[in-house]
Amino acid sequence: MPKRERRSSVARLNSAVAVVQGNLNDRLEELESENSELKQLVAALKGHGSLEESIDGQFAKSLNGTMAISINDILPFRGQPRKTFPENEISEMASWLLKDGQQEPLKVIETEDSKYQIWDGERRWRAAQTIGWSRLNAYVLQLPDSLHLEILKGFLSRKELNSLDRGEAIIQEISQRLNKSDKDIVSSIRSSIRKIERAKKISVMEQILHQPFEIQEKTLAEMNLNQLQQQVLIGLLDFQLNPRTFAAVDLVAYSLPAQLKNAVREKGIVVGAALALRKLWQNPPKIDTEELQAKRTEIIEYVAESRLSIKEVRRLVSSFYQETNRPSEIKNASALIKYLEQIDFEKLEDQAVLSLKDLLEEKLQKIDKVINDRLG
Amino acid sequence: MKTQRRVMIDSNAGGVGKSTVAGQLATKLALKGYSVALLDLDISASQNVFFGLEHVKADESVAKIFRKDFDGSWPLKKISGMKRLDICQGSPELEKVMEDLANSDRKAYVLKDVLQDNPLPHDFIFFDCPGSRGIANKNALAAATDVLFVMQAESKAVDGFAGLLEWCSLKSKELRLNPQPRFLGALPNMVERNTPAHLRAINDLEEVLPRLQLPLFPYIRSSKEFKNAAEYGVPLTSYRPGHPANADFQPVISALEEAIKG
Repeated sequence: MPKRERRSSVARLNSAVAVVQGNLNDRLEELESENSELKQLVAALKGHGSLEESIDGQFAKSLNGTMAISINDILPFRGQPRKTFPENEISEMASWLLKDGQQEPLKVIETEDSKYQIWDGERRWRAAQTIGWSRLNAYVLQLPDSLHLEILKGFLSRKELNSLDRGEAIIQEISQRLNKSDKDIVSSIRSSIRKIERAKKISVMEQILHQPFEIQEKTLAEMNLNQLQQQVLIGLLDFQLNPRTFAAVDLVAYSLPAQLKNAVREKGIVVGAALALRKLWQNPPKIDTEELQAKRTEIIEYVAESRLSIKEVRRLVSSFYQETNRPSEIKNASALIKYLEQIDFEKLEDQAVLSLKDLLEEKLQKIDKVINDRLG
Repeated sequence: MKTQRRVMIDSNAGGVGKSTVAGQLATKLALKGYSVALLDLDISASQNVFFGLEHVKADESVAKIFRKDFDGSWPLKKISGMKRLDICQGSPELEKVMEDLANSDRKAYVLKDVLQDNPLPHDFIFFDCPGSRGIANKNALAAATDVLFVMQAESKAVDGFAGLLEWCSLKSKELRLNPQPRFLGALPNMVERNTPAHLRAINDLEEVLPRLQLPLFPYIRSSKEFKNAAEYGVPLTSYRPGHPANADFQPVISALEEAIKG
């Protein structure tokens, strides 16, 4: 009997894919022939709306085309709002690149010395370096007035920044705009939110979030805030951010200790886990400084490697405190004695009675030893 | 801002559960607060069964809108208990009307023209198409912003789907649609988890579709409850809201909600 083989539909599907792709390419050529019209349109668009909108998809492709650029000529953008590039994400991206090739071109800006600054695609660029690629495809775009602002808007609209990066980038943007220090901006946000909360008007923030600028300005003017406080809140609202949420989420992440920020950005610990670890800095256990520092590093490494959930991190921290604090805390046994006297052993479950018995026997030996030592 | 999505639900053959899928999607979106119109372009008028509607005369059916003398008053029917769902019922008469269209100059663009001249206010309009490649399907393609392909997960059906994909792509070009409708994705339907042939067909699709960046939605399971619900004239989501098959539609719903955000 001849060997039977399963009939696969892959070949049939592949020929359909070829037809559809052929059609898409034709469309692209048509679009390219409309290139001159598009250029006029772009000229008209300039100064209107965000550049991000005008460069997406086939539009950009037909406008600029992509270029293969040497990886050595590509530079990261120093003002890049996203600063979180954990190793595991980079290696994941690297394996995607190896498997599927570069699906999405980078977006880059040509600098004066013929290098290219990354607008979009730093993760792809970092990953490509780890697998020894020499070139990447990119759209070359013109420099907008403020690259930091344009990139930030793109990230915000796609909700792609973690609260730490978002907090830092927004504060940087607002402080530059108002020509103040980051510190001034942060304290203005905090003080204004406190003030509005005391006046029991904090829910107004949510109400004016999507209102026109004039209404936001008018509402804030009635809140008895100083000028900087008003400007800062307007700045947040302009980014479609509720100042209260920003203070409660992003500012808290922004104020994390440097070592924890670093753990988020390099080791892939989520912000929530970093917040749970913050206690080790804010209210450290009473052990000596060197030991404390070693312990902090050890715990961060452990959390990163075991990919603990936030709940597990909280549990880890609290058990760490229990262990370190126990010997120094209990020096007075009177409460314990009183408690023991009151226990009705008849009502305890079997298991509890047994473990209590084991524990008490063990403690009794220690008590004997202490007594012997003292009576010596 | 919401922009209306006109979604063509198409398959390479009849009986793959296309109308069931269309009815489910329309109902679920309406329950989520979107306004939805469902146009039954199939002469078998199966939406009547799924929603427990009486058959109607040609003048109260979708056939009306394809006539030259259409006055712009849409023959829509509300489904009881659903504020936001309107149905334009199918009719066997549609076949005759379509035949008459054959000599019309704009035979493939009638639906597109009608929707342009007498726009519907709904967030979503679904075109439940016949499982053929006739004039009704061309009209739906020309009027659609999105196409959802429903198929059974069997090698014959997958081959058929490949042919349908080609057809949609080539027709979009021939009809000079600009912009061409977007292919929302492929949705395997009536899949039995313990039938290896079904799973292998899905594997074939998984292997090829990413090259077109055409989403392959997680499959809809096969369930006799769809048929039971039809006996009572309600979609499964109303008949047994807690049935696990309801959740199978969520990825498509999310894609549609994403699309309407623009």
